[in-house]
Amino acid sequence: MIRPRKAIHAAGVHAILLLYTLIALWPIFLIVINSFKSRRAIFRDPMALPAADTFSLVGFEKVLSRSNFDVYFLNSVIVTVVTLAIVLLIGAMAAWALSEYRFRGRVLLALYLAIGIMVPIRLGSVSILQLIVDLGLINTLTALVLVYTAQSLPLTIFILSEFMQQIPRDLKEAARCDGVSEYEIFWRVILPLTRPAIATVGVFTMVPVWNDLWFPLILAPGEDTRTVTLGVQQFIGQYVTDWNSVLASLTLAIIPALAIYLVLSRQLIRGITAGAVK
Amino acid sequence: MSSIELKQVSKAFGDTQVIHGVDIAIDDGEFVVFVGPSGCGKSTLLRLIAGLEEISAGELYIADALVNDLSPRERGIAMVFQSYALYPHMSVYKNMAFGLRITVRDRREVERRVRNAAKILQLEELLDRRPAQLSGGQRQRVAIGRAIVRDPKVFLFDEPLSNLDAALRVQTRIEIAKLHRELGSTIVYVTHDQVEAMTLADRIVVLNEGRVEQVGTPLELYNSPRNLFVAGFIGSPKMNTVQARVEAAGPDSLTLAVDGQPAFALGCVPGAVRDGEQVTLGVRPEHLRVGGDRPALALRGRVDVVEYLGDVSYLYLTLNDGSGVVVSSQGTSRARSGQQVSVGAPDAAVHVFDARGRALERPSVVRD
Repeated sequence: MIRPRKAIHAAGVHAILLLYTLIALWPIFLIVINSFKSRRAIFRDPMALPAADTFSLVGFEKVLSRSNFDVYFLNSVIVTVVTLAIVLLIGAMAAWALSEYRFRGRVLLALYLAIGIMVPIRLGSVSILQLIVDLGLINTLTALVLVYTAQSLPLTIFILSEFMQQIPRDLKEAARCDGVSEYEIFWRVILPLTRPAIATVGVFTMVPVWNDLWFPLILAPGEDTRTVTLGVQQFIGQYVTDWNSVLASLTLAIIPALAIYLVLSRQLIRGITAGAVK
Repeated sequence: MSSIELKQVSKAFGDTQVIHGVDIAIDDGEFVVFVGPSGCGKSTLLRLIAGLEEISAGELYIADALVNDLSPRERGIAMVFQSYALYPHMSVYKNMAFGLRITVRDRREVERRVRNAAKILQLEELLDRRPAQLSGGQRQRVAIGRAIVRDPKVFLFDEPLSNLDAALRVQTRIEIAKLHRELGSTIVYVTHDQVEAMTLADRIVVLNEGRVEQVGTPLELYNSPRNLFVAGFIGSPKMNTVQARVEAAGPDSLTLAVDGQPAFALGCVPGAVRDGEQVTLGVRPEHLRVGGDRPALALRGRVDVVEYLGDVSYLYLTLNDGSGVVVSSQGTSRARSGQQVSVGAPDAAVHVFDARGRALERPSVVRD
């Protein structure tokens, strides 16, 4: 039996959440529906769903045939996945070292890494550009991966070390008594237990990297190294914007981000329920 | 051979000295219990033996080899933690096999050992379950199983029973005692519960503030505690203590006076105390009798409360000087609360401690 007051309370909470979801999803919904409409229909009634007479795949056709969209797409995937892998691996290892081992300069090192959370990396754009030019990495995906790794590591280390500190000391010591090496403790005990946290951090890392326009624009604007967000810009002109193509490429760009998110969020939910049973 | 020897082992955390030069020798196959109040350093001492904490000074030998600088795995120890420390994401089988895989490469040998330990501990049905699906007692058995499979030189137990309920604690205690008899391995066991210490130990080490107060068999500690701390810690209910003054110290006897009580004499080794010195008398509740025939020590007081436990009754008395005394009397006592009674103990049952809390040597005290 749910008491009426509780039910009203629950309904209120859900109404607010539902409203928020609608507001958050509305722009995405608009992009998706309009990408399936003809140019005229987009301007006549932007809110309308595609109907038989307004339905058109012209945007998708242009994007897939007349541009290097497949290259941009692959570039984005490579940059995001490689960044994610490096950040999660190095971040988890650094977090483990900072939370588990007592060594000279530990606090200073932790503070130094935390500063990265507070200072936006874009402030250093000029120096980063100079550095990348000096390294001869301009117009390479490596440049983007390096910058995004630097950008994402501080928060990753911060969040993961908080989580790792919560793992009972006895577990690590039991493993040590069992003769398990420090590496194996990390891989077989610590990582599985922090999986929900790693999934969360993964989502937080992925989204800004996938969506970034700034660094691809200044570090890798070449035709072969463009990412999706930068590639879309070629359809946006000073005088004429090809809205069909813009909306179609944005619709396509949502898919991989959504896929990675779904994979990670399943881990996230599994982690939460595993914790609830204990 | 898996003896353990501590020589002047000390431990300091920063400026705080927590273990002060401890000397203990533990024989091969012996079951030794470290007991003491919380904060006495017993767990720290166990962690020093395990290699989880670094020894600040002194030497530690396991199986006659100096192990100060060896890691836990090189010392050949297995530890059972109070929190069980089971890996929550692994099944019972994997929990037991995880550490074993490092030393034993052969898969079938790992399986054989895990199955064998599971059989000893009656965990065979539970091998596929996760720790979250087990009861407290089962988790405890898995933790012990994880230690057994490694066939260690030394087992270390850190308060393994304190998270169990009373009935399960007694049962698991008996299982641990049986296990020790079957495996015959050296065990060091830490507890704050003196009943566990008395029932399990071959020898007990009583610790207080980082120092060893006394080492001995359970009965040695019970019958002849070396000082007031051990006297108060071992035995339940606690040993009664009464303040007394030495009236006359003779060559083989002391004449003592307790406020509000008639003077009395106890046998003694000469030279231990001087006239006028304050001493503390200690008598166990079970050695005090109501009435009694010409006891060496007689105390008068008023019965405050009587507790009947069936097999035994506890009488809580207030003496004339205001101090409290507990009397344990077999069967159902006829004393009623409010009643004035005289309780007495024979010469051999009275312990005398000097002003610094050390036990005086007394020829007549039972020492077996």
